[in-house]
Amino acid sequence: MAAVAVLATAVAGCGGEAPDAVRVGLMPTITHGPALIALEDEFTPGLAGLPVDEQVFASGPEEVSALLSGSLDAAYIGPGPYVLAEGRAPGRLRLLAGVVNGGQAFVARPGTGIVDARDLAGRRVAVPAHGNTQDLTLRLLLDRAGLRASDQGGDVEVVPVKNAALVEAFRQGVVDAALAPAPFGELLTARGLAAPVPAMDRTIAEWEIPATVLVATEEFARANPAATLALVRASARAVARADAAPRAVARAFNDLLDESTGTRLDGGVLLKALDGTHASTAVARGAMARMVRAAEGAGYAGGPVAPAALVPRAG
Amino acid sequence: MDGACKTYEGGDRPALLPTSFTVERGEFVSLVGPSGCGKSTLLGMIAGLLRPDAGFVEALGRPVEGPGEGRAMVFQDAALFPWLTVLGNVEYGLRAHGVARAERRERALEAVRLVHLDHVVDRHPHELSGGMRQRASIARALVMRPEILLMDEPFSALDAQTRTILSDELQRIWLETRPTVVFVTHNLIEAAFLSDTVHLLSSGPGRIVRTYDIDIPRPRDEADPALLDLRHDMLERLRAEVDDAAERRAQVAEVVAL
Amino acid sequence: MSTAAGGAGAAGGRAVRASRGARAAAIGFLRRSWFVLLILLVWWLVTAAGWVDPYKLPSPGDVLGTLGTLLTERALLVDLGATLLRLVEGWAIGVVAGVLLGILTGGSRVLEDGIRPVIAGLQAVPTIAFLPLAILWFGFNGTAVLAITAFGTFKPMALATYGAMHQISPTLLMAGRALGARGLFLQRTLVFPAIVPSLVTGLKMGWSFAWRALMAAEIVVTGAAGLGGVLELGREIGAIDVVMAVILVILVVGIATEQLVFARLERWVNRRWGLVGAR
Repeated sequence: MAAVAVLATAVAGCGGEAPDAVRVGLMPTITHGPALIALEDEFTPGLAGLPVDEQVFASGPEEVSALLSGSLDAAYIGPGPYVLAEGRAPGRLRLLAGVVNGGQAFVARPGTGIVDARDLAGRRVAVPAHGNTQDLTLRLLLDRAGLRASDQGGDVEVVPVKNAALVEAFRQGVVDAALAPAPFGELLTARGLAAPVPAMDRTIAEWEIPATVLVATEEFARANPAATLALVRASARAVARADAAPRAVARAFNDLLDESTGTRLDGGVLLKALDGTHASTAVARGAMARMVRAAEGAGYAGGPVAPAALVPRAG
Repeated sequence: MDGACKTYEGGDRPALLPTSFTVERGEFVSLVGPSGCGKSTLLGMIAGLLRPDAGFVEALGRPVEGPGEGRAMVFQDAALFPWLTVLGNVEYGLRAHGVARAERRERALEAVRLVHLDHVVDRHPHELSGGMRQRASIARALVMRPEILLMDEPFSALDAQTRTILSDELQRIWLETRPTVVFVTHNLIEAAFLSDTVHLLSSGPGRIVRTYDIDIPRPRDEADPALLDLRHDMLERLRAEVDDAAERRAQVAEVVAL
Repeated sequence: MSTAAGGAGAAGGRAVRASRGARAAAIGFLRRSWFVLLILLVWWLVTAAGWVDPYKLPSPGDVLGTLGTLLTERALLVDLGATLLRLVEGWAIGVVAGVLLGILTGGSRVLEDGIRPVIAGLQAVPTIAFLPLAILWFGFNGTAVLAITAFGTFKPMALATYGAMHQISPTLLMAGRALGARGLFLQRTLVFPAIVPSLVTGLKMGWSFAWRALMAAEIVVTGAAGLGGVLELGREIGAIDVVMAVILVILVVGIATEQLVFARLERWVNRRWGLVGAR
């Protein structure tokens, strides 16, 4: 039985000692632009006396795992993964502030004649992953047009396609359209593989769906209120700067991309993608409620999400 | 008929010094000697499985360039194919030569009858005793109707009783089919019992040191006093050889040390 | 009276024998499954006692419930069927290709010395690294997944074949050659059957490599049914119970193929080839 006890400690064990750094996670995507600026400048002096330890993640679910397992204190993350985490592990995370709204583009293969959500009946539409912000947004769009995804008994096939495989999927005609995170929709358009669908983009813009929010673990926020507040303020300063100077965001993004993959994206494409984003600390409550509804409709939600979890709370 | 069945003039591989001998057609010849005297090497070269470094081997009036051409071989550990039945093993060589199925079956059954294995044709090798395995191996060689049968210590892995029985059988089979046989063994009595001619090989680098012609009429009996005398004589000769070889090696070691 | 007693005695003897048989069967079952039962017990205890958060480790009951939901609502059997079909196809292609290459080039020093190090080197590269290439060549579809699965099987099979060929008894080869076998006939009727026992071990290894490559590829190339897609779904929506349910399915399939296919194949080969240690 000793083995059982050890196992339990290992699984449940999250340290409660004073931290020696604030561990902040982010992803190398353009919608994390303010986070990149914050990491470069705003976080450098430290947060309430604590240095910032940045960690780059490949996807939202991985950030959630890191947060819930106690190896990350705060993270820039999409609202989709945040909402799903709240359903599975209620009260473990805290929504701190908004970062970027928009940042997704609906594009369709030329010749498919897709100009509105209604045209998606019987089509295959790519999103980056199940349960991510684009997947949930697409389900909202379908719902409004009276359509359903095939896994909900409808005839629109929602196909998860990793961003890296998206260009090839379009080239080979595997999918007819995509709701893509910036800058991948713009990239497809620039390469002539897809064209924007303005009607859809307008609807998405009206909903003010966030692309990136800032969250922290409830444990960290409670134990370190000063550092948490400093984090929110530093992030807000970065958001303001990103809103004023998109070129700085594009440069910071390319620097990070260069550092991690050795490649840079075309500056024009990046700036076009940034056109569709709006850096803001505000989180539209209606947008978060929509995310929850979409997650529940798709059967992703592990449980109910408390309405309070949808409102940013810094202190 | 062609007088010289095969001649070998050896190269200077360490296992075997230049060696020459001739076997008459229809003759039963044994190569006898201690381990490491190059008997098996010699046989492998006649079979065409090994190439001499120098010199040449000739069989049935033609130089040996590879296996086949009227020669068949029986190996020390039978070397049966474990995944085939007795019949499958015996048929294998015929299959390799593209013999039609019906003829194959007929010839294989005939060979199996000759070695008294007709009751176990559908067994696999691991279901047989050591003696039965070696009989199957002999049948596998005989089915090729070889003019020359090469046998590499075929009975050395068997117990004494089985060995005696199989020696008798081999004598009978040889009298029935009369192939030329080159028989390698380290058992002196076996060699004397079966052969027309016995070549005694030395150890160390191998070479022929003495040749015995045995004209005791067949069928022979292993308990024949003449055979026992012969065996005694060969044994004496071999002992002297072993001592000589040891001396030679010591001399070589001395030279190398200098 | 006495006859009745005798009848009862005989019946009693049968009952004793029957109960002995049942006991032996029960012991046999326990001997094979004690470890699984222990894991299940610890798992259940840990979750029932509330020592871990359910989102980190769902209880056995929850996972079974999720498995039921997946089977009824998401048609997991269709995914399982699609995955198994791809697995068997890809594995079979990889096995045939690997063994053929091994046999055809293993006979020649020059060919083997040139080819073997390349395959051994490739074995160190995760097969999934070739997925982008496979997608470009075969398309963003099941064919690319199949190609990756076949390639993942091919590498260990070719290496296993080379290894097996070096273990063929030289005497057996000499016996075959002395009987006149050569070239393709020799490869087909002697070399191939001679390496079959070693290849059975290779087949199992190939199977596990096929599984790995297939799962990794199915996670990326989505849009068709497959366990990899469900596994990824569970990861993406943070549903650890879905992930564990799929792992459970893969585990059961793995144990079943080992017991029903590979163990039997191995026993048959060992019997037919007369190898010692056959159980």
